[in-house]
Amino acid sequence: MNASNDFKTNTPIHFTATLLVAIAALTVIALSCALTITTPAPQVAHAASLASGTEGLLKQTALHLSKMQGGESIGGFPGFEPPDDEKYKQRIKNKNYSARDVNDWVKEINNFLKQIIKKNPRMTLEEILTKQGLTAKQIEEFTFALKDTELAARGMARYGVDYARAQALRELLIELGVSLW
Amino acid sequence: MVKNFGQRPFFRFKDELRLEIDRDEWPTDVPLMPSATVNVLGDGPFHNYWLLVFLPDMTVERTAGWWSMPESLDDVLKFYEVEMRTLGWQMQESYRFSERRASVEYCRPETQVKVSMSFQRWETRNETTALISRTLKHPYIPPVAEEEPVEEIVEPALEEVTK
Repeated sequence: MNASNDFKTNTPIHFTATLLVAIAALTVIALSCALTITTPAPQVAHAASLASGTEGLLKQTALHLSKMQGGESIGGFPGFEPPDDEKYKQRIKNKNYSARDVNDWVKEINNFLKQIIKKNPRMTLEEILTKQGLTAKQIEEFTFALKDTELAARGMARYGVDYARAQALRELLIELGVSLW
Repeated sequence: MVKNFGQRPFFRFKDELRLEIDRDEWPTDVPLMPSATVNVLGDGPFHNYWLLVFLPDMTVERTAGWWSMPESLDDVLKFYEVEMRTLGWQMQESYRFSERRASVEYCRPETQVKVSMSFQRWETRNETTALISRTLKHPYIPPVAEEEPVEEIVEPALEEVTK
């Protein structure tokens, strides 16, 4: 009676276990196929050799640079999408931003660049952007936007841009091998 | 030449000295379109400036200005292409990043003067802006301090002192 009962209860357990093993095996096969099919593109392979988090920092830098350029995309990174704040939207689109805005953006840019340098020591900006997969033209666009920000910040010092921040940006760019002069 | 020499305010920060400049003090070898006015941002007009950076091995001289013109981006680019060539500048790099943005760099190989220009079209304001900088490096060799000869002082003998 007991044996018969055991048989009745064990059979579905065995069946379920076999089914799970089969599903697991199929999943492993499917994953390995997927990995073979989605061989990383060259730029992804390059990005992989940068320190983790660098891509996000570059993206954030580009986003802040974009604010001074009317929200345009910089170096292939997405441009700044103004929030649902009509006033702010108009400030960015019509270059009506204030020295206070620039002061905040330069502060953020400096912080991102510091982290990029820390994560990728002894690498130039050009090397970093190349590894990120940017084209020569995109690298120039990114670099020009940084140099322009450094120049522009000084001319807004009398309105409230902290001069020390403009100078810190100069030093960071030199550390990243960007030719300012 | 700086106007009102000796009466102009200037700003010093660490190794930089910055002086704001007027339109008539803009370098004559970098042309401006007749329609150009100083770029105006949220707080008011941009302060064009002349900057000196004192580095251990050189003094860097930069003039920076941000200008605004009603002409289209293509017309502004055409103007600079013709005018800069006429003035003997050599184009080093030229990029058209998008329909609304472009950058150009010029140099004079004989003096190493560089001019960098970034242009942007602002359709909503019907204007094109040009952020222009002119940079010149002056090599600097710090003067070596000459050592003054030390005169030998003959100390009197101990006996003479005690006499």
